[in-house]
Amino acid sequence: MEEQSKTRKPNPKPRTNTSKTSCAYDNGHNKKQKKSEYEFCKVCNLNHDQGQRHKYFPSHKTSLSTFLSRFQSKLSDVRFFLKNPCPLPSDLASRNRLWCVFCDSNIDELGCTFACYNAINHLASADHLKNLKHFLWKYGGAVDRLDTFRILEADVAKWEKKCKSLRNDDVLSTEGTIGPVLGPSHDIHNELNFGNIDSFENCSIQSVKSSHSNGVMPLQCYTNEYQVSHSGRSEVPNVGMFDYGAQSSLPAETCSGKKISELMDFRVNRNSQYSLLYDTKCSADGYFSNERTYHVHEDQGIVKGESSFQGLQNLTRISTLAADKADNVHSGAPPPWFEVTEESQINVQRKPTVGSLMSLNKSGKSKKLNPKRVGAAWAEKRKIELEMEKRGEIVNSDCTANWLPNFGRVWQSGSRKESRKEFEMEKQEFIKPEGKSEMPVKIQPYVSKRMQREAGE
Amino acid sequence: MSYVLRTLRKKREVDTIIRDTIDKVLVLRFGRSSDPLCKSAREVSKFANVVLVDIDSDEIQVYASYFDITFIPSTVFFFNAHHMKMDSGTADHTKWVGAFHKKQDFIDVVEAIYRGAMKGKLIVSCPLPSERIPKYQLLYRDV
Repeated sequence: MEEQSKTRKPNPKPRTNTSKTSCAYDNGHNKKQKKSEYEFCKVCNLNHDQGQRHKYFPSHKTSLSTFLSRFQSKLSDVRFFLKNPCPLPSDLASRNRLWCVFCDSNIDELGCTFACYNAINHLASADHLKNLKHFLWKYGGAVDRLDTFRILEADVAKWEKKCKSLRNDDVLSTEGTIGPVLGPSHDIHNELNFGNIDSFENCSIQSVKSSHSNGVMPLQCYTNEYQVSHSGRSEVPNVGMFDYGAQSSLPAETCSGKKISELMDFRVNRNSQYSLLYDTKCSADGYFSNERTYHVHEDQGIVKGESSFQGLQNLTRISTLAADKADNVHSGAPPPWFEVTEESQINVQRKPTVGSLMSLNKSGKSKKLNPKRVGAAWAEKRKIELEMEKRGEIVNSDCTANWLPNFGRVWQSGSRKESRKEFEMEKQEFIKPEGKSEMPVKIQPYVSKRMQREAGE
Repeated sequence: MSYVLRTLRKKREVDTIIRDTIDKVLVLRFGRSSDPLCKSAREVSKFANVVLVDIDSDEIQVYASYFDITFIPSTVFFFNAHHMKMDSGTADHTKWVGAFHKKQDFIDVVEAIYRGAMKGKLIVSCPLPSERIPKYQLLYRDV
């Protein structure tokens, strides 16, 4: 037994499926993948056994970028309230929550006086920073973007100062503030509105301005919260809803019909996001002495088609005759720019002759031709020269009688230009000796020396 | 079918056709007009221009020496006034020496030249199998 145990290699670490031992040296050659325990990636929302490698996979990276950008958009709302602190009405507090993806916790705003109070404090906390760092380590992501997912202490300090000043303003203000919604705002238009809320004469102007200003007012709740609430609200029966049919039902003592229409205009034109604001504002408004709640709906049918928009000064009315014309989008007529191009096309077709049409076709083709093709530059240059010749212009061409194309000769090495130059040199050398050998050779009979001596004697 | 193909006898004509054939393969077939080996140019007319060059013409001799033409028929390819070479496994890559076995072979060769030229290649490989490529012995001049 002992011998067997000696001969046997001890294996203190038995391999199981769940162990983290690497199998790299198993067969001696092929490296096998590390097998690790299954983990859940909350970015990709899936279980994987890739361990630490998972965060480098491209699919994870794309999921991470969408994940972070989604959270970033939610944080942008919080940042807005960080810069512009607004008091939070108690009935809206229950709807305001933020899920912190790094800490995996829900941040409520119950019992808070300011919007995103708890959220801001949480994002500035040390725990959040710790969790954020852990998240970035675990799931990857740019560490330099750390500050985008948290709030710095300096910003929090500034925000707290602003909140304090707002609280003080709240206490001091006695102008019949319309609920906590509009009161602490630094918006001068709102201040005007507070002052003149009971004056009917200025209501049109002020209401318009307030419509402007309320267009600037921040969201009192997160958009997704709003959608939930808004859909809920739309189910409420339209008891207090103003439409022109119900105009006459308004008690006459409130104001004239014209002014009601003006009011309605600005109310209805308001962005539907601020309907919650509306409720609180309208309830405090002097017009609604009967305390009807006014629901603004996104149904823009009330607004459109009405001609009594005199009170609206934020819109410039242009001629309404456009609606009477037959040729518009609704009638299915072609757009004006399309007609223009058709005309130009017809003109183009009429004017050119066959030759230029061909050149047009060719030029169209050349746009599709590969610019890297052989002799592309030459081709373009030559086309221009040909067109100029067709037009009758004199083209300075380098095509002399001795022109030769660049040719890679058989017995030459080097570039094609060189082979052409060599050929031209050879040609010249060939011509010169021919010229020299043109002298006629006179043939004379052979005279030997003896014959010369005898002739001389 | 030589009446289909244009025959050039002057250097000027050759120069002009080399310069004016744009974005098409120019197939210069150096041979004799009496040569019965003529190819139809219709199939390749969209991307090639085929002309015959009379080797017996005096003005063409300069081209014959420039292109090192020793065998006829010899076919030289140009694209946008640039000489195209083809590696067909023979000693001379600068031209196609000899006749084509089939009309389709000629079309294949011209197409290969065209494709290579459009990609920017100055030398292309021959698409034909070796048995259809005419063999010859290339001798250095004066040897």
